[in-house]
Amino acid sequence: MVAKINVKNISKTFAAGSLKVKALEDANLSIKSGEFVTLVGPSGCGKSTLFNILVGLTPPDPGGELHIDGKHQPSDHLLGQVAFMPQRDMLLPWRTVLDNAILAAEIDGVPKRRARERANASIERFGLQGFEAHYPKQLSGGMRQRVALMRTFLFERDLMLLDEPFGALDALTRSLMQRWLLEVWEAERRTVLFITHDIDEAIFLGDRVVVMSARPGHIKFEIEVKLPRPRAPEVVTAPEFIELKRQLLGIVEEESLKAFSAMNRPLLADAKS
Amino acid sequence: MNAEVRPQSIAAQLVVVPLLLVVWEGCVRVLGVSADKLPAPTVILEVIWELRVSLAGAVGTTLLEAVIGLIAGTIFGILSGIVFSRSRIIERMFLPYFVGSQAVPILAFGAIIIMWFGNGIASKAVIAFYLSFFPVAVNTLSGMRSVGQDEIGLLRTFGASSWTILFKLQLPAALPAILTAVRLGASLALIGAIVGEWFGATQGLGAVLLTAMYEYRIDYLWAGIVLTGVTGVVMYGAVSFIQNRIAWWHAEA
Amino acid sequence: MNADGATHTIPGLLKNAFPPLLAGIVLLVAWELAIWYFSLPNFVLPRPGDIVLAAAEHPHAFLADTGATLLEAVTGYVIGAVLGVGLAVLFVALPVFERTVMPVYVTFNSVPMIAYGPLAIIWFGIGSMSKIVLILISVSYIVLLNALAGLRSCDAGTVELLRTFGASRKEIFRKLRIPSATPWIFSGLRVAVVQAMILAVVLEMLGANSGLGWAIYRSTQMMDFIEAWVAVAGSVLASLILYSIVTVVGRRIAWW
Repeated sequence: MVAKINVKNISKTFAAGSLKVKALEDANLSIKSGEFVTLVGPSGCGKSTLFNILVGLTPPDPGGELHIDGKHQPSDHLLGQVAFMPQRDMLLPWRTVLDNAILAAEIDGVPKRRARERANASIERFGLQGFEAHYPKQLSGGMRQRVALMRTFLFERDLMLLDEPFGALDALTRSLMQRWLLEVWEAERRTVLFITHDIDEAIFLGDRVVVMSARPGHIKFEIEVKLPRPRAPEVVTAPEFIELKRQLLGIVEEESLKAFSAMNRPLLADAKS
Repeated sequence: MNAEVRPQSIAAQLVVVPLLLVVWEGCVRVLGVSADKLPAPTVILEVIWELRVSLAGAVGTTLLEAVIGLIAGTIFGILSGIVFSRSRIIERMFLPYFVGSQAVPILAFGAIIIMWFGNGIASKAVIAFYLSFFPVAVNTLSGMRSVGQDEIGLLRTFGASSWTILFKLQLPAALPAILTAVRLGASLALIGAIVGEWFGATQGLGAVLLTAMYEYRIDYLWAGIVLTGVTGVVMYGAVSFIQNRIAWWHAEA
Repeated sequence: MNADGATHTIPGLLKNAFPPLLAGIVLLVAWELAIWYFSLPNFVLPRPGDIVLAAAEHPHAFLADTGATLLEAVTGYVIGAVLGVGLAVLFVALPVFERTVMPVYVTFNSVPMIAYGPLAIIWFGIGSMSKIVLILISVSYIVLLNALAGLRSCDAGTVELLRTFGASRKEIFRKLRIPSATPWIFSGLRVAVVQAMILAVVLEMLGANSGLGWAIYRSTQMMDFIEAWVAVAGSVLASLILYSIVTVVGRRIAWW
């Protein structure tokens, strides 16, 4: 079966004056259609850079290739092809919840009326009934993320890229949101690539967990999560889960330490943070 | 939210403006525009040079009026701001009037100010004061308020008294905002001084402009305009310099 | 933007209005007392009542003058505001214009606008035109600076996000930059409306044949100080009303 998305030897170098930072080096990744893949890695490993490349915001270095549905995609064609959800919700303060949810679809060319109808149909699924006419200012963090997720889902694309969408939420809200996300995803089974730094979240959500190395980033390790779906909340204490976690922890820690010691060598991108 | 000119623009100014002056000079010469409609830049510079002594005196007088008014306004503004930040009651009673005072076109009161304070420097300084105290008061207040209760609480756990907190925490925190307001106040003070002179004065840049207008001397008028601009830029630059020296940690409030 | 407590309910409004009203009454009483105690002559500070009476004596002239000044101020203001926003949009869409035109604008405006007053009067006469021209330039500059800052104030992340939706530059402009800029523009509009009135009145004092500034000048020449105060009161009222209008409109359009 042709992979939904095939990342081949993607590299990315950032240059600032005489300083060169290699964010990604020969990253290779293959994702099947309908798969939910979670991506973990230490800070600064290039996860967000990879996403920016996949989404078309940055071109990869020459030599790397991106294939979607078997077809090679040049970088400048990618914009508008992938449903992207960044870390911050970026809701527009002057738009209501409903109008924020339809923003991507609206830009995509869907007539406002139809987009609003579709949004209204999903409002309950996203737990926002009654809040359609509210403004972002009036919502809690968790609700804002749900609006942003709704916006991402209403953008009818097979491929979704979610960059740590639950990172800013507290632990309780986060586990609720994870369960809710899986419910919503089950309905359509789109292909999802999900970045997180939380190993529990990665295992709980994913069909497959991919670990990125420290900078320069490449795919270091992959493991299938053979836990049954739908995922029950108790699964986090199941022996299989713990075993997966044990394996992943070792590898992720190893990469995190590398990234940590790298911080002591001043590099332009690090110096900024 | 008051926008400021971006630094790149200053560099661009240094290129475009001389170019413009050249074009201006060229147009006047080539098209033979008469000197009493639009004099060439070289003519303006000649006038400034010829009358440099009296013009320097005019700049000095106006500068004195504006600076005195500005300093007085700054002091009063800072004190008011501190008082307002201390007492909500006083703030709610008097701040609306501070605000209202600025909706009043003080410059319309000019004639009356001259009546009250005479024809000399004092009346112009009063107008300059009136125009500059408000932005300083408002920015002092908001600057003082920008320090959260958490930080104040922390200093109290170190045993700090209210005065210590005022001088070591709140005022330094407010300094960038205060100086931004003083920069605005500098422009306003200059305007106040000039308009004040229009109501009654024999010296100063305002008097120069007025005289030039009555005597229909456009070259003298442009000399006055140029010098007014230069004075304004110098005042603004001086405050900016001070701001960069003592309150460099914030670009803008 | 600040919100000073609940002003959208009647009790809230009264509660907020009470302290300044109290202070206002105190000031008025102090005003009357000062005049009585110090036996202040008329030309220093007349009684508030006298001012109102004088205005009521010949309302036509008063209204005519107010109207003339308002006409100058509002005309210059509207044209200037449109110009300011237009230039800002142009500069953001085509940066080459900013690099060439902006430096000239900045230099020109580094001279306080009133200093151009005598020049404007020589070139355009003492009629409304000289005032309108200067007001127009001054307002456009203030609005331009604010609009430019506002159009550029939206954060890069949001711009990029819209690009991933496939938005064109024009769409990003319409859907993101302009709404982001609106609060900034209104901030500039508020400042500019006060400036416009001040400029109108001051320029009239320099040279005019109608308007509140001209009335003030004429009255003080004739030593009729009550009249001067009437005109001053008129300009204060007009300023306050214009400022309120802009503020209220601003709150409705750029409420966030």
